Amino acid sequence: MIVKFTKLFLSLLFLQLLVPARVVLADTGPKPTMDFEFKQELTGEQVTITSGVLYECEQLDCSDASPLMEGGPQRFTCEANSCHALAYGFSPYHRLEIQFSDGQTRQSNIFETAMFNSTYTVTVRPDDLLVEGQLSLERFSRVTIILLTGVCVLAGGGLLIGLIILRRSKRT
Amino acid sequence: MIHTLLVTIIVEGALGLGYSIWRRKPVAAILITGIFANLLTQSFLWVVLNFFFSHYLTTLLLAEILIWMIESLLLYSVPANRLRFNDAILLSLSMNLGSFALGWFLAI
Repeated sequence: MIVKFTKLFLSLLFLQLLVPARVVLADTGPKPTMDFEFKQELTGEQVTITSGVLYECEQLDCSDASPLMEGGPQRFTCEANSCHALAYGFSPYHRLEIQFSDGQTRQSNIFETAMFNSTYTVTVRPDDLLVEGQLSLERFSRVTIILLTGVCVLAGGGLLIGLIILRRSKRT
Repeated sequence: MIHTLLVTIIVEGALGLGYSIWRRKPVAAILITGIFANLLTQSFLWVVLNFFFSHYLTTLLLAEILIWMIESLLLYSVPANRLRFNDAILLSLSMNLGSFALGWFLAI
């Protein structure tokens, strides 16, 4: 019994190693994030980000856009060439508005939430921004997700069956 | 990865330890059950949140309720814990509420 328990424990511990650290803090409630990597298509001097706003929208045309509210860890922050957002859940559609060191404010196209932890490439163009989702699933392959689901279902099912058998054997 | 897992286990472990001392229950058995339960439920929560990310709060709430039930059942089912069903439910609730409340305010 103890050997089986230890094996199951080590298997689950190993399973945790497959999952990137930033999204795994389960019972403490992992939060969805968005990462924006900027690349420039400008002629002349390269610009840097001075500030930015992430607009959240429920409508496809973003007619109801409102900035992502700050509260606790929920916020949108930018560095010179990248931005990051963390929230207690995102709206389905978004738009970026970024101020650059050349004094210009550029708006992006409307884009959708890609994943739980989404990564986007933002192309800085002379007059606007082009946001494209990186849907390569580079962080978790589909195989990993399917494997994890399978292991969870098997572990959960096995656990329940084991518990039922244990309870019955204790009664008899 | 191990670092973040440790944070959850430390929070829930501290609550489990406090409960075990307060109610004079076997500390080691309850802590080991708690760690095992967390490994299982963390994997489960991570999978469901990644699948249903567009309904984050609803998914999180439902999953946390399910996790509370699973952990209660686990705590109760291990004879070495010497917990009645009501005790297991209460302990699991306090452990999960503790770690959830802390996590709610952390940028993680």
